[in-house]
Amino acid sequence: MRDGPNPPLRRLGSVLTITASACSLLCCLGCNPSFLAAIGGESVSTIDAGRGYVVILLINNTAFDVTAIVNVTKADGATAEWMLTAPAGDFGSIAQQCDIQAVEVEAVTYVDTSSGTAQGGAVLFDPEDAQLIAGQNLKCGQVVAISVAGAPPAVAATIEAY
Amino acid sequence: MRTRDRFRWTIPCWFAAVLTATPGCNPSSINSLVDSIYPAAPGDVPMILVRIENNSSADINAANIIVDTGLAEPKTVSFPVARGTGNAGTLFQCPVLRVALGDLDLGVAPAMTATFSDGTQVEVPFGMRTLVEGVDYVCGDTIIFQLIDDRTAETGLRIEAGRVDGSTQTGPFTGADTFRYVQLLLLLQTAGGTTDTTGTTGTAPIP
Repeated sequence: MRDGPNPPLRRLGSVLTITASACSLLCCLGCNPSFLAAIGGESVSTIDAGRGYVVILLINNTAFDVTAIVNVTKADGATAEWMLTAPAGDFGSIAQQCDIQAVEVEAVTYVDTSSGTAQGGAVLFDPEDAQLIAGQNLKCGQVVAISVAGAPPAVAATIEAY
Repeated sequence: MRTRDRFRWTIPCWFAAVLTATPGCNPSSINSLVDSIYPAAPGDVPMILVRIENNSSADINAANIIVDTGLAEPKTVSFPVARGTGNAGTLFQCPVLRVALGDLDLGVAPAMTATFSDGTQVEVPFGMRTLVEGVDYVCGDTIIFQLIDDRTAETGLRIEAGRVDGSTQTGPFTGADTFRYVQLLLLLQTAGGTTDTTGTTGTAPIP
């Protein structure tokens, strides 16, 4: 039986193609979310590893505890309200997968407990200053940073997407 | 081309085409193989991401993440996650010595409170031992806790755990390097003193 011209090369080509296909299949199966590394020996049905995040970061450069209320609009139009807290000199964060279309900072407040009685107030921020971060201003992978600094009564926040 | 040769070439080509079009390959794997786009874990940024995934039929009223950072008091973060495909995560700077939901030491304290569509409220136990750095995860990983329906569970719900290996998420990325941005923002803007941005890296978990 004749195999045509250059049979060894044809066989080599077939072998390489089959090998590449097999490797692709093994890679796909071996890395399928269904096989995401389980912890503690527990079986894992399906867990999505994630395709990138938008992180809302509350950075507290004050001597008080700070809280931010943030409204997130998902890609399907659903909304979720999050409360971030950051102790004095620390930070808080919420990481959302990239199926969101807008982030709106509704309120930022601080609480001063140093005197023994809780006193606090609203943190000032520019209502037009990227309160609603959406559309072209919000991309997968970005960090929406709410930076709070100052002392009462001039505790203020800047809001920026990076 | 002879019929037999044509057949020999056709099957692998179709196979490759189907695999290419098939969804479901781990995005992390795709990230590492085909020009990484966005990180799925902090990678070499000294943080861990703890994410709650709700794939159950109940709304999570509060998912109570608690971590031991070596300080006197553990850090706690709590937030709701809607039913269906709701998800949310939070970052912790390393070192993070232990991670759990609800309680670091008891293991049976409520990890989450959840409400079904008929109004029934339940307290979901963690159902597993506390995760330990160097055993279950290392600095740079993403730890994912997923809530799913389970008819065999007393509450009808069960928590599963998974991990994204941070060593596969070190870049370079064609998209935004999210966790690097977080690290830089904290370095530039934190007042200093209470936040340690250097972190430590642990040993790899026991396979």
